[in-house]
Amino acid sequence: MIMKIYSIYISTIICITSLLSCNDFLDKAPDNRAVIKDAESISELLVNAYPESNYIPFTSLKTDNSGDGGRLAVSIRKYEQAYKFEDITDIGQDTPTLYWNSCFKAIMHANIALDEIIKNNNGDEINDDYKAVYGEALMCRAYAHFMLLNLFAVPYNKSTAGEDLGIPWVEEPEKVILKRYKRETVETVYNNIVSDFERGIKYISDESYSVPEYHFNTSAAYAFGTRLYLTLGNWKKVVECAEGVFVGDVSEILRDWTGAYKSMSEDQLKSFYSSSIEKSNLLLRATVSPWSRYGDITRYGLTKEIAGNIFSAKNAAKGDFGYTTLGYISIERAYIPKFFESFRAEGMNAESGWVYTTIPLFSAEEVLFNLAEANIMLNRFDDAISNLNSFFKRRIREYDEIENNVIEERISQIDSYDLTNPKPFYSISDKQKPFIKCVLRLKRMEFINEGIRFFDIRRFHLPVTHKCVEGEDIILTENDYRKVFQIPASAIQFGITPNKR
Amino acid sequence: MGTLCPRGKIKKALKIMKLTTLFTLMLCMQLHASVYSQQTRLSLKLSNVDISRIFSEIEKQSDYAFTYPVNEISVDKKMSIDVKNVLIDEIMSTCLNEVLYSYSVIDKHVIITKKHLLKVTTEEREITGVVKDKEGYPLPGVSVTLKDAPTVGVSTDVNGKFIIKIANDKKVTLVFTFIGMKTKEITVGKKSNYIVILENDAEILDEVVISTGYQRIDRKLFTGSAAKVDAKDTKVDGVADVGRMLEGRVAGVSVQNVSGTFGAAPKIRVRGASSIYGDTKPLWVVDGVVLEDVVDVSPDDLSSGDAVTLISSSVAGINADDIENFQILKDASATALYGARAMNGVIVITTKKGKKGKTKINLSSEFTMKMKPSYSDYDIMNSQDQMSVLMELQKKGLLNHADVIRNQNGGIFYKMYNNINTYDAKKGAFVLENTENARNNFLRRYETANTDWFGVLFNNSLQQNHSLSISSGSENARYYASTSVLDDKGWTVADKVNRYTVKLKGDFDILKNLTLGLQVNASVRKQVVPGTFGRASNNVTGEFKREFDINPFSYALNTSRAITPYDENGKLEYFRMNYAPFNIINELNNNKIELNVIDLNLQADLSYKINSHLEYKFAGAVRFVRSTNEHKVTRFSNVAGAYRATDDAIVEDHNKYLYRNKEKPNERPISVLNNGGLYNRQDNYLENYYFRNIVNFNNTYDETHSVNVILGQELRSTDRQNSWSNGYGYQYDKGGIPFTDYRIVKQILENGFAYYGNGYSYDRFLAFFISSAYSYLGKYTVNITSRYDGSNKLGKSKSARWLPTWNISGKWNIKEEPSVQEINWLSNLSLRGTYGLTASMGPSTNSSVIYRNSVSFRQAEYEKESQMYVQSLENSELTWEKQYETNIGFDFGLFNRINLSIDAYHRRGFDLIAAIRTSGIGGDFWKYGNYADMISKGVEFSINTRNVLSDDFSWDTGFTFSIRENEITNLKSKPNVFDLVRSEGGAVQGGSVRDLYSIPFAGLNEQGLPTFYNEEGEIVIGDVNFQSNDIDYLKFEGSIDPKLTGGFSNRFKYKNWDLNVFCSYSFGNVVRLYPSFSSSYSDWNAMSKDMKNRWVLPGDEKVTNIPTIPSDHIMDNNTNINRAYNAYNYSDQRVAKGDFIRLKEVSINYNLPKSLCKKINIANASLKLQGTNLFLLYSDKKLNGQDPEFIGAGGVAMPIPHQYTLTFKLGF
Repeated sequence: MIMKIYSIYISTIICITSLLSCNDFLDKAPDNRAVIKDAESISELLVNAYPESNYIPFTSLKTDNSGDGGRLAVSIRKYEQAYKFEDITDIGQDTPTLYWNSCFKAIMHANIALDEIIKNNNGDEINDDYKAVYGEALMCRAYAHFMLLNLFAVPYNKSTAGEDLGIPWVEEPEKVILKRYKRETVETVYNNIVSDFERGIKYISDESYSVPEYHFNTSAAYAFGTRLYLTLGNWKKVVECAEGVFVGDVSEILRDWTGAYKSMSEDQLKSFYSSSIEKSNLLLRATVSPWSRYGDITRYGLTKEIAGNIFSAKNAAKGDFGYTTLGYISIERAYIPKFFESFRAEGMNAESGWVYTTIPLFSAEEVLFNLAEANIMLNRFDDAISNLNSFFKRRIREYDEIENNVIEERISQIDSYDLTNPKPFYSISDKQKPFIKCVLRLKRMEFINEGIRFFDIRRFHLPVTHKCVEGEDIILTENDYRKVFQIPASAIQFGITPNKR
Repeated sequence: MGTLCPRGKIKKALKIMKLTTLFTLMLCMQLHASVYSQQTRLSLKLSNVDISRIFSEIEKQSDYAFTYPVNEISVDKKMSIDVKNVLIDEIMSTCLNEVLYSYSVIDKHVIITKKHLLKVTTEEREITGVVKDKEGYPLPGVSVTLKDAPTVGVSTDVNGKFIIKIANDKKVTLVFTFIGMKTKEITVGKKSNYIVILENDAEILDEVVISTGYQRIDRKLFTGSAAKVDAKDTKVDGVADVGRMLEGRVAGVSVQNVSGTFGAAPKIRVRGASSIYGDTKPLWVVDGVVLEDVVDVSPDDLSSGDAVTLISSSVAGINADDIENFQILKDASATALYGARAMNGVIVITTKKGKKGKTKINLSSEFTMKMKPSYSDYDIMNSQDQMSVLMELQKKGLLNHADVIRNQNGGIFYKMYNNINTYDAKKGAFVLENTENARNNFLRRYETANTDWFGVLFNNSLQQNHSLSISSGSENARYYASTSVLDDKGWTVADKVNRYTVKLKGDFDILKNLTLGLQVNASVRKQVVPGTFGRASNNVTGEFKREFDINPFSYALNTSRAITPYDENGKLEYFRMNYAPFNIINELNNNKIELNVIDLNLQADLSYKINSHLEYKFAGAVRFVRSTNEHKVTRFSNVAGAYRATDDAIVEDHNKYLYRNKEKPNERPISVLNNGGLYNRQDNYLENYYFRNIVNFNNTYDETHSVNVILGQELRSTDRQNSWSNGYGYQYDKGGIPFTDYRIVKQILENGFAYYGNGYSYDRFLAFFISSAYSYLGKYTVNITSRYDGSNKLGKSKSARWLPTWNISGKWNIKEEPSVQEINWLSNLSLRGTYGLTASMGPSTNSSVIYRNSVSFRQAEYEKESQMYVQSLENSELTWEKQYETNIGFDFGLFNRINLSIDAYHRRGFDLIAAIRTSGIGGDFWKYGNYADMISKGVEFSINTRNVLSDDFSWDTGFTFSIRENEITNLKSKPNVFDLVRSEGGAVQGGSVRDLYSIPFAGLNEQGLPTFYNEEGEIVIGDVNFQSNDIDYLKFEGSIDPKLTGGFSNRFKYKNWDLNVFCSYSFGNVVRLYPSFSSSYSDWNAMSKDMKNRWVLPGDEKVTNIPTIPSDHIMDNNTNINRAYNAYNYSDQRVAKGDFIRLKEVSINYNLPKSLCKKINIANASLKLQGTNLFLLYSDKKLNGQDPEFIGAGGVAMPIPHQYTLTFKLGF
């Protein structure tokens, strides 16, 4: 009996003392993992709320800025597939699949940040400390969804958006290994994006960033606004947002192709173009992408012929463009030095590693074009012309305020040569049309090798013809389904509806 | 001790148990015999019971234990007794008929012997003698009988002495029997005084108790699958790391010596791997306490040769001479008490203890000679053949002046061209005339050099290991102390090891029922190895690469024999490596790693007997390990040279060690290490606490029902720290003053790296367990164990961290059945069965989100900022890796001569951690989750036979055999091509844990280039994508883990001589041959003799599969030639079978005769000569004699040498 009491007594003591302390004991983190404790750590988390992949290769190669550089040039399969409007089967760097994944990864970071912000605040009441990160997180979530929507869903059309399949809208961090998702309609996703944008823009604060060029600073956020509302056809909003970007003389913050850029060597140009010193860059992202290494030299891309056509065509300013365009002797390829390769070795002195390409996500030029387009659609032609003049001032060699000044007549004369008709979901008046065409042509030229053209091709339902050295031309028609990238196989496997093929 | 001790009818078991203790106690008889005062007073009141019941009642009340010949005493005689407060003597005289029986009380043991009534005749004479054990201690209680009349006999007294009267006229043989000892017969001659030495019946004693670390349990009642190995049988003299001693000794345990360097852990697997991506190492337990690893090196990385492998072996700090035995716990029942870390099996080491009695001193000295490797074992061209290949290269335009002079690495031709270019102002001429004659003369010296690199870089070195141990003890305290010194001068010119160990252990009986044990273990290691940087894989080309690899073994294998270490004048001769001068001897002197490890372990054990059934036990241990790894590179090293190589513009452009200012893209690369060398340091620190409380209840009811319950709790806490820093510009020869160019730090930062770092990891573990066992008459035993483990490893979530495991097992001792008991030739027969759940911590730790900090990688320094990223999302479903295991075991013994044990198991692993591809929408494309399953099964078989047994000669044989296979039944991860073709292999659904695949070779083309089939079945040359996830076209080669392993040992004993021959074998795996093919060979590389059969002329492709050395022309016209030759290295042409039979050990031992020992006043002395790892009796021809366990990884990895050891042992 005594024995039994003893044993019960001892075991009870052991159990109680150990159980009391055991959860505390096991609460110790297994390694020096980070913890989110304040707004500062959330701000650090948001460094990764921007997609780390590059959309330029597969979008740029689908545009009419790309041609066939000839058999002697090295061909990379995924680039060739993009050029030939095929579905890209590779899932590595510079592919739609990786971009899909990294956009959702950015969204994940934004959602976790939002989750933590809500946890640290009372509902919608956001403390001052958290305002800036709240704004940025919303902006990031909106941006990543926006980019996905414009690659993996049909272009926005007000009348069908309620039925068109968009992309999944993700607004909370995933907690299980495999979660089911479904595609929302284009309209729903846009509504959410607009809602995030409108909420977020109020809180954006430039003071909160140590390297503002890599975050949604005020200018970048408004620049995003111009692109967003342009897509939706909300012109007034575009103008409103553009005003948030431009203060004073617009041309001051444009790339100085005819000035400072002229004296730079190729390497200098590459590193300057996509650096934070260049004022035109409103938002930058270092992406894991070998585009800086292969974009200029592989078989498909800007060719000497296309470059010649673009730059030698008559322009509204009646001058010569001052871009630095380079070409190869042995192959037909040409390029404009824009991207600098940063190599991140796997280990110190390792032979292999990752190529990083820093790309501008938003630049002052784009905002200027978006503003011009909105002005045109609002029939503010004088404002539009003034916008164009600002642009030409930095692009035309030996620019002369009077000689190169754009006048309306010249726009309608020169740019009506272009036979392809823009066919957006809204109507364009006859007067607006040449202006729109003019903007589209300049934009196409300005953003060679930057992918922006592809979004215009979608928005305006433009056809594209790709010549091939071997075999026939490949034509992308106005409403071609190939303008919409296929949902990655890995997502289709988990029940996401594929796009029409 | 003795958790389950059924009494009563299982007398044999009882007797053995008691006598084991007795035997231990006897050792101190000389000092303590008959001094025990029998003061304990007893009260008994029993009526009409067996005598045995009275004895057991006395045992319960007191510390007395009874020993009596079961067959001779009528224990079932009924009697009554009623005494109060009497001494033992009184009771004994009441109970025993003193005419027939006598008894003696020695210490606390009551030995009852039957008096033999001898017929007295006139012709009888008296024989006297003394019976002793091997150690020379007298044995009391030994029964001495006449062979012809077994009922006639006497017992020895407390001094081991006996007197027996025998008939004078007859030839008489005396039989000496004593339980636990081998029976001995002596034919009486003219002599009338004999000294009889009885030897341990090792087999019986060893098999008696199983020590699981938590409890010691009677083997008969042990339901699990376990194997015990005695250190004295398995100890391989001259091998300091005890982990390697188990090779081939235990069925089901495979030991692969992937590196023979001291401190590097062998790949040990108990019943194969049970996790796909997680840990597959068994758990090491030393004296009941889990031995933690200082660093966690994954099984795939054990063979990497990285410096961290030097501290991967947790047992390297243990002195092999301190080990008493190993107990390998294999199945779920055996490991049940270890709960959730025992999925990979448990190896329990029990170290030696102090024993009561005379102070004993043992000295042991080992002298080991490691033999130099020889070219005859390898397939490498001599310098003449090598030179003819170089001449061919030159003809093909591959060794032209302009290229060679600018190559990163350059041998003879580089030197020749360099001499032609160099103007000697003193002589007023170029060092070498640029004429054909002068050139040929120059080359001739190298053609005939035939350098023996093994001779230059290796020593027939001497390794010494001396150990001293002292064991002593008195009535209430026992001590063991030992110390050892290991001094290895190094097999190569660049390595050496010193290890010192100390062990102090004391066991104290503080009260009658309270015992305290204290021990201190300390070891210090100082080791020097060749300098090495970490290995990196290049997924693009499919190569493993190590910067500045100077591993002497791989250097000897890979360096042309035409290159000479010394020039004509006997001075070091330099060639070119990494654009800088290089000489291996100079390099080994100026680039080395110094490793210092200090390991201190303190342990306390306490046991308190609350009453005769209930015991409380505590164990606590604290361990600290500090290891410092200093990589010292002086300014004279080639590494420092490479940082400074700026010979010309081309070198500048190609030398990646130069600094390129990113902010000024137009600037030329410059050297940023102009002074001094490198001082790279890595520190590892381990702090480990371990506490355990156990309450043990043990009782037998009605002498039939034995019950044993253990209730326990365990706590483990391990903190690890790893810090490192890279110092640049350290001036070893200038007072150690650093002279650092700030730009080298800038360069590191700009490349996205840090120049120092520090990481912590914390392991917290808590467990509660209960185990209950029931045995009916020792015939039927059932055991149920359950354990509840908690760990912090899975992350913050409170739900995931706890896991219950359980196990049920049973045993049927068929031999105990009355009908079977009669069968004399059957010495043992039992059947065991186990079913249970075991678990282990997977490699995932994300039960809540894991955030990491880093510095963002950006183009310019001023654009960088701190960032935080989500390493993995929360997995609320995360749980442990688990496995259901079924084990059926069968033990069988014949004539006490043959012991056979067979175990068959089936393991169903589930919830194993594997990567799974998601839709990507959650933000984490690849996730680690419990999504893989695996089934393993196997059979283990071990047989020990005593083939011959006589007084002078005995021959024992042991054979172990195990076969296993496993299949991954569910795995969503998709490895890429490189993951599968590299020598470590990869995991694929439907395959085993690590399978090796090959790129299918499609023959040589008409140019002699290798071709392969690609995904589409097309024949391609270089278009092999190592990063592709399309793996269906790869050729399956087999598992990299052997399916069949085991060993075969034979031990012959003749008088004082012992001969031991041991072979280990392993079958059923494949190995990838050393990747020796390359598209371009410099004048550095050694080539294999295979190269003689290479493609030379069109048409050769029909007769050979060895590709050509591509000409300049071919190189220019084919892109990816480099990749083609790498693909060849990873093709089916470069795979061999890993099967082998190895003559692991032959040893001959001579024990100095006892009589001689006595004369010179020592207890024992022996001399042993042992050859270890002698040669392979069988291996795949494709290996050309190379060791299939070691295919050459560089870094610090070395194969196991052939070695000879001479051991002296002396005991006082």
